[in-house]
Amino acid sequence: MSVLSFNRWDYLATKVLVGGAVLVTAATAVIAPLIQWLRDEPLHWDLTVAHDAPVPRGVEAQAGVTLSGTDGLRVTLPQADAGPWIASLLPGALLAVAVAVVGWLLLRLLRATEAGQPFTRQTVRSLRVIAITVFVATLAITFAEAVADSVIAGAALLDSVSTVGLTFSIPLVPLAFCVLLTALAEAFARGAVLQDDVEGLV
Amino acid sequence: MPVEEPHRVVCHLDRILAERGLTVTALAERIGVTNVNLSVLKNQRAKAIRFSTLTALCGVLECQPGDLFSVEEL
Repeated sequence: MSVLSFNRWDYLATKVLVGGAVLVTAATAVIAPLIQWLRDEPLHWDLTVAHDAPVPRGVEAQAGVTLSGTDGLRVTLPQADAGPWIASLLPGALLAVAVAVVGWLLLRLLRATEAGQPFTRQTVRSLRVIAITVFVATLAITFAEAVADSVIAGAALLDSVSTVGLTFSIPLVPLAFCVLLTALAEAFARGAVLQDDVEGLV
Repeated sequence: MPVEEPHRVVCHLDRILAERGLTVTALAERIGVTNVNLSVLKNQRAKAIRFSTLTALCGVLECQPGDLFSVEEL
């Protein structure tokens, strides 16, 4: 048996991994912050600032080397209102939903492959929906994070507009992954046509 | 007739098996095809047959392809 083959233990391990990823995402992105809110714990948030932050005290450069701070601020709101908490929870909630949808579709795809029937219309649909989910979730989460930055900065800073600005950069890697998945779905669609042709071949 | 239209090929495997006194299982073992596939062929559910399978069938049943298959008139 080749070390690269995928036997039933690999299928089982993959299913456990996918299920685990869904649960861990929900726990860390939604449930843990929600519990912090219910316990009245401080709200922590990393803000992206519109200009360089100062270099941390005690950090000195060698001769000829220049230093500048990173463009981030760690904000801690001791008694945040509902607005900042909800804004901070939204990106995590969107991520948890997206991971759950993708996880469920991946499990469906795995079951079809394990049953020896990977090239079906349902598999093609699953791949396309995963691509769409990743695309929509990427945009939605990026926007939700920008909104959360704005809301929390407004609650935390005296001059949030000039300090934080409105930063909105769309990550390219997930979008490239969408394109790859869409191409894969088209390959599987061709496979489904070939599968139909072979159906009933003796 | 365009290829897209449904086929009218009829398989006479059940009659030939009865004439030869062979079961589907015995034939499947002799030609190296699964019972399931032979049943698909026997029950008119097959859509295509490999030449290698056809050769093996004709060899074991001592017949020609025309004895196994015919095309129904419209």
